[in-house]
Amino acid sequence: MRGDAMRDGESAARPNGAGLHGLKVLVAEDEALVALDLECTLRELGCDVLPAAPSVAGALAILGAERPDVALLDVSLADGSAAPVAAALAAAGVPFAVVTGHDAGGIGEAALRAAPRLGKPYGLRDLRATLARLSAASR
Amino acid sequence: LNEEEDPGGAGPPVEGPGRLEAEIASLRRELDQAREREARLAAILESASDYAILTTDPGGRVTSWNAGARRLLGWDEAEALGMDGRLIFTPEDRARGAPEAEMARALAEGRAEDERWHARKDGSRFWGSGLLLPLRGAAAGGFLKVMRDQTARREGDERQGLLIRELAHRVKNSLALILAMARQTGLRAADLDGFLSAFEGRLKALAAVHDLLSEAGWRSTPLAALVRAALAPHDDGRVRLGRVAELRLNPAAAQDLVLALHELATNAAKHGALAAPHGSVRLEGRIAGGELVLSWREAGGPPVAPPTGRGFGTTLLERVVAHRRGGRVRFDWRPAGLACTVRNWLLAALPPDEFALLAGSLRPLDLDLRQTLHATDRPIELVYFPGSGMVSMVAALEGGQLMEVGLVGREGMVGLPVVLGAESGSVEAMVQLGGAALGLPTAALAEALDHGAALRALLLRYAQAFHVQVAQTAACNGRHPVEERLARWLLMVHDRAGGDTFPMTQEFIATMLGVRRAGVSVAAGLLQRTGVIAYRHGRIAVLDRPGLEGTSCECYGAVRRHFERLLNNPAGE
Repeated sequence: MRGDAMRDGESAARPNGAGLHGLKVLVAEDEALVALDLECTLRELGCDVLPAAPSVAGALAILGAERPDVALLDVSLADGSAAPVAAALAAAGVPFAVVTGHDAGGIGEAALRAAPRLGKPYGLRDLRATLARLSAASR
Repeated sequence: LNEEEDPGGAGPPVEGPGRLEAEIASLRRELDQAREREARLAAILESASDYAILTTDPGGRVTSWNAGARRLLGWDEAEALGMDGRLIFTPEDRARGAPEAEMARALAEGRAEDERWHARKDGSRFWGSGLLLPLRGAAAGGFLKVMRDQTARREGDERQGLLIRELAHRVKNSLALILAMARQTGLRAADLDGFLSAFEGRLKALAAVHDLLSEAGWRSTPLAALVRAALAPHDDGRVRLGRVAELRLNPAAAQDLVLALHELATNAAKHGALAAPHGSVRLEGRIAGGELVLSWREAGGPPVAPPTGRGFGTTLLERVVAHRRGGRVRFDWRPAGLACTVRNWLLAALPPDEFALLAGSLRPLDLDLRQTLHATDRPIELVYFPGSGMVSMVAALEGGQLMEVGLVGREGMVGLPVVLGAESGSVEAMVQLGGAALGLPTAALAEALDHGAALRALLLRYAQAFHVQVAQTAACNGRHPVEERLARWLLMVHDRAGGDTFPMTQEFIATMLGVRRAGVSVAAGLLQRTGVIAYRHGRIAVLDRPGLEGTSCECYGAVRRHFERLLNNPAGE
């Protein structure tokens, strides 16, 4: 709750990429526990986290209603490759990174392969650096 | 032969017909040998049918083409001779200039390895593996290419490469999952031992699901096998498996399900049906309306409240429910059969439809030692229903002295002024034994009180019982000897501590009872000498509960009877 209060207090004045406070993040990840932990960590960083989507359909539904500042995508979701989500994000001009245990060669789709990659398992610092990079691109 | 036509020419001197004949015979022999060699070479080339062997001129046009080349590449010799040798490269490689680069390298380095996909006459492809060599001697300037079809080996290599890459990917995913598990377990663990035991259990559950997944080749896994694997470590014969639908889950869903069932079983063993001697659990999985509905029913355990609670297990479960809804897996949360880590007796006593009025607004919270839940005269924003731990209501006197006037544990709620229509209270609410509670925003409680007659009646009865406790405590503290007061207080704490030992310092007891520390020391020493309690390293152990009840004044029993009468709440006090 303390985290919530802090987030609410600062989201009104969203800084221009200097910090991550109020950065609206879409997470697409099909493993519940990993998604839970990622959301938790993002909240600690002050981000405004949209409910994590386990599937392409779920992520596209969220994108139909919300415009995140940045997105973090697992390469393969419950109903298939995240490529359609990547395409929708690219069309909307939302910078995104793929969060994956694959190296670049293991990613089939060009749109996913070309995106910045946050390698699993990631530490807080890696996550923060990726978000900072995406946040700078979202301006 | 020139010499025959030009016997007296510039050649060496001729010494007679015998000599000439000998020379001719020798040349014939050489010629025969040469023909034989050529035939043998041709035979070798033709027999080496596993190898495509071809030569080209300096410009890359085919000048010879063996049977192996015909077999491997599809063009027969007549078609191939004079053909542009670049045609055996794939169009992409031709566009990139790979044939020219290969020839240049062969010339510069004496050989060029040729390991690539090649094209046949019909456009199909094979993995050719071989060499391009510059020809020497008469055909100098041209090239010799020798290669064989290594498609099978190549595909094997690629498959192995893929497997290794996939393995690396899975290992990293698992590491990410384990890291997430460690972080989430760590966030909620009280201490290192607690962390280790919870983490170990979760890791073992994960290992069990990995066994099943690798048996299934990391494809879908049968639900029944997953359920059995998840419950096996917890099953002492009291976990009953009902009908489980024949269904297969994908690896991520399988993993989530097993971790979630592990949490349910762990909770049941710690706080639920499996903690009671005759408790049991029944699990079923059926398909209804296109969805898999898993129902987990506990029977014979302590009363359970609907799916609320704190901690990893419940959070993960809620998460799996939300996360998998699209994936056609969900949990059936029936109020009658749920595992839950927070068991507040007031909430458990509510009829389900009235609990439903609150359920959406309740949130699981930790109660941290010495945390102030409500400050004196400050608006109460959240009320608390403890499931474990204990909260003291403390009055502050002007000199800064504190004194406890009441105690709340899982039998009650913190925030009664709200029920009685006030915005704030005159006493402070402070956590005295850490635990867990469900928090409810004041506004949500006020709203529910408007609509829930049973809730209103229950909380008013609790207010009356608590009032009795406060009044009796005040009277007791004013009149009774310290050791009786100490015994009464220890009994009240023991009722709420959830165990026979609890952390407590003498200073703190002195403050709570409004006694000097020396007084507590003497009284505690008396209880210790009679073997009723043991006091060591800041912890009190209740050794002889009837002895403690015998030492206490009548105040403990009086309050307890009120709780029983008003709330049908046996261990109230």
